[in-house]
Amino acid sequence: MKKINAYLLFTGWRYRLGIFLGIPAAVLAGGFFWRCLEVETGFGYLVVMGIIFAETVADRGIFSGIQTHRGYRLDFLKTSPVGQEILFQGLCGDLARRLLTAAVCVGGGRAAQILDTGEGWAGCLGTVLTVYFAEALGLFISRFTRSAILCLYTAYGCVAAGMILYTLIRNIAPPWLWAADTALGLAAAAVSALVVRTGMKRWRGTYSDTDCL
Amino acid sequence: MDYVITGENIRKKFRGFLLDIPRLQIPRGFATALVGENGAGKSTLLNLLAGIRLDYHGQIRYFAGNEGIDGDGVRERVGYTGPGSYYLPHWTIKQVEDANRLLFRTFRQEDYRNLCRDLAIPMDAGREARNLSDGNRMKLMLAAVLSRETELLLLDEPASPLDPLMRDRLCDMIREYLASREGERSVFFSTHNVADMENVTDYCMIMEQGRIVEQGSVEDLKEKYVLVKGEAEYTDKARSILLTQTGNRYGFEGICLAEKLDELAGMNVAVENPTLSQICVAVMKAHSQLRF
Repeated sequence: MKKINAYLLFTGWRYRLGIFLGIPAAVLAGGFFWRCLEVETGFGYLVVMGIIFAETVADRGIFSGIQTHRGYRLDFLKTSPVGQEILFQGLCGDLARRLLTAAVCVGGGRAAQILDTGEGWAGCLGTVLTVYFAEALGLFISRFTRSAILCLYTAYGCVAAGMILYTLIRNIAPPWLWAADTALGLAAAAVSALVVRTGMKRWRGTYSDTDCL
Repeated sequence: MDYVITGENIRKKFRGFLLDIPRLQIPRGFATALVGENGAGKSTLLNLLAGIRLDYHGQIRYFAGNEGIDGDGVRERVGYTGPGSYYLPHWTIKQVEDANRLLFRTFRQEDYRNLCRDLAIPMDAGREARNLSDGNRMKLMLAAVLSRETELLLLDEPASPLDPLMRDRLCDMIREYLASREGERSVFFSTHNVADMENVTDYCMIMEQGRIVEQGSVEDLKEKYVLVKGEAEYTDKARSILLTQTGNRYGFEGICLAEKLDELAGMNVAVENPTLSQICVAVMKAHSQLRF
């Protein structure tokens, strides 16, 4: 519970509304709309694109700029004996929440497809990991800047990377899906560790004034 | 005398600025004011003492022990208020409460809510910190820090954004804080509003260009410095002896060291007790790079 509270500390009500509820609701609504259009393919791409883009851009409302040279000082954390721990839990909680959102949205979208086409769950895990990996990569890059434009370009880039990976996942023969899932899982874990480590390192750096000789 | 903070050879270098304090002693059980010009290093010193900046040379020890800010339980016993941007801008009053509850073990929610009500902080749900005035943001910080069990308050210009009535209330709050555990609690605050804060100040440190140039109890400072008033004909003669001087065609007045009163003999001067504000201005002027 404390870990969840630590994460929620960094989020405002607008962020929670838009991200915790808005993205899953948009995916569900989009899935329903797609069913109505009776288009057999493409919904998966839409989900992958939408989640990666929305999550990367929305990070501006939470940890944007935490990895910049001058850092995101969060001085109120420094006056507390548990401030560092809270930030660590916040960064980890953020990533965990993103993985959960990706799983819910991709899983929900896949469930809708299964109802329609009878297609199985094959490739679902790979898709979740693809979305999460591309998102985490986007966070790692975009957190080095506070610029909205650069954040947007990063989001576009990660959407493109996510689309490429998703296309590859979709075309992998089922017997080899496990290898793809494992590789994606390892890559996602590595990027996640990098995001947390870099964020913490940069924040600890703000205990020092950057123009100190 | 007991000291709540002792420091030795504190040095922190910026481009073009050096904070250099060979010896720092903040008395325990009293309210100490830190006064100085803009850019004198007051906030820098407070940031070092609060553990917000750790890039300095020297030693700072807390609560008469041998522990630094990262010592066991030290941060929990120190309360800090900073600039208006201290909290996340999107935080509501409730989120400030939740944050303090997570970050500090001794935070009391009931006290926080009562203080917010007493200080007339707008409590409407959803009101974000960025939508509060500077004064209300400062009141919010004070409510949060006074809702904890602390032994030392480090306040960075708490009076600056407050209206005169609230400054008076702030002085009362500081007095209540010190009196609640007599002798065990201390307050160290920086201020430009020396006149308003004088009635709660027991000790004063005056900083200029990164150094403490004068310090002492208010009583001692008022014995060390005197306010001198004299006739116009002696204005030029007195100028070299006084630290500050204002004059018109009727006469002059200024601050000088009590030990230099003999040099004013024969000038028919009247001597009075200066206010702390007058002393601070005089000392700052003597060390300032401002051109007068």
